Amino acid sequence: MIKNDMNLLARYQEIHKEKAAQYSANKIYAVILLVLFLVIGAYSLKLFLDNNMLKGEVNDLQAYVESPNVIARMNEIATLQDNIKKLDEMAAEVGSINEVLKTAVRFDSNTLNVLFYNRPSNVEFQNISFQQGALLVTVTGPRPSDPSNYVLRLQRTDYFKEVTYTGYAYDAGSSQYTTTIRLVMKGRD
Amino acid sequence: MSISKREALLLFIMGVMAILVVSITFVILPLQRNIETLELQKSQLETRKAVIDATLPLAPSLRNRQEEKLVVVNDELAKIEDPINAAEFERWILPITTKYDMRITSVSLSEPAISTPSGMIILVDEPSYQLKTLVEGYKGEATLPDSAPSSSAQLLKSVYTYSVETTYSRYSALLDEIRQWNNTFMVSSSSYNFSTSLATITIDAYMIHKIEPSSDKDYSGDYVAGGSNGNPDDSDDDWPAK
Repeated sequence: MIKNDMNLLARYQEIHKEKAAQYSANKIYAVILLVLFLVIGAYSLKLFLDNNMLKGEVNDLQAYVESPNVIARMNEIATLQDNIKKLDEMAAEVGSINEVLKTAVRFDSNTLNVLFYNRPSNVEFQNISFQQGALLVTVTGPRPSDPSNYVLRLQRTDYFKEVTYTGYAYDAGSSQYTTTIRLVMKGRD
Repeated sequence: MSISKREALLLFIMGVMAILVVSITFVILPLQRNIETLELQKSQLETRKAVIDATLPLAPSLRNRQEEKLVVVNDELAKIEDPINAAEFERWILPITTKYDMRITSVSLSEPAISTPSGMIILVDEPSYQLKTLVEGYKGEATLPDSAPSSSAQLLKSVYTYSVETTYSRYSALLDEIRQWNNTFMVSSSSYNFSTSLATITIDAYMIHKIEPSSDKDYSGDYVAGGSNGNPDDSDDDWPAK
């Protein structure tokens, strides 16, 4: 049978050891908490300072870009750019119109002179009609060769783009051959 | 009440976690989100500022470009007549018919309507067939297809038709007077009948609205037109009537 003797010293040392361990654990906890607070605090402070700094920069930038002077000048530039775009569009539109009108056929005495001065002496005009770039000239002559002579003379002038006729008819009452010549006019260069 | 070491450790860990969660949720994350928002805002504002800084110095050159283009466009627009109505057009033609003593027998006038310009150029293409193409190829000649400028741009067009009794030489002179306007009023169809001395002239008047009106034609007051085709002086008819 084992004999259990009372050992007060051992018991004292045991209790003291437990307390010491307890105190040391509390210290560690406190240190950890302190470090944690410091880290969180420092990081939060950094974020706070960054935030404030950014706020200041944003406010400065906003004040610049939204200043009435800058807005007015930017509006003026936008209007100028818009006007230039509209002027470009206008120039393209009116340019294409002028290109067409510049080369348009013009019917005037020059054409009539060509018709008159190339006419064989015995050929007489009955009617001259101009319609959208083409001329129809009705002439009479006493000989069947008169229409073709006149057409060939007109072709030789090179004044017209095309000179055509499709025949002639003899009128016994007037003893005249009548023909209608079609002439296509050239546009201006 | 005493707690064991293990319980104390667990409580400590929970406490630490609670502190972390609270500080991250209520302090760090909101600040970070705010910073992100501000950085985005800053970047957008910096972009806007860069655009502004690059754009503002362009103002003087843009003003110059606008002025140069305005001159070019005004020059081009000035080649086309300002819009006029039918009554105003009469102030163009009546002085001529009066000058040449033409009797106007009928007139048809239209108000301006939207149209596209026509150069009245008829395209003439020669017939093409295989052998002709081969012959041309052998001779080293090539026939280019006929062409004429065209435009889909719109402008105003009025059509005015006048029938007048007059001599052939005066008819010819009337055509020249219209030609000498040298504007966008052009004869689109015309005829002269030598047996009746009746001339008809149709004028297509192309007009356009402008930045600055370019015509100085005076339409004020009344105009008294004449013209009877009476006593045509044969001396001005050096062309035979037929």
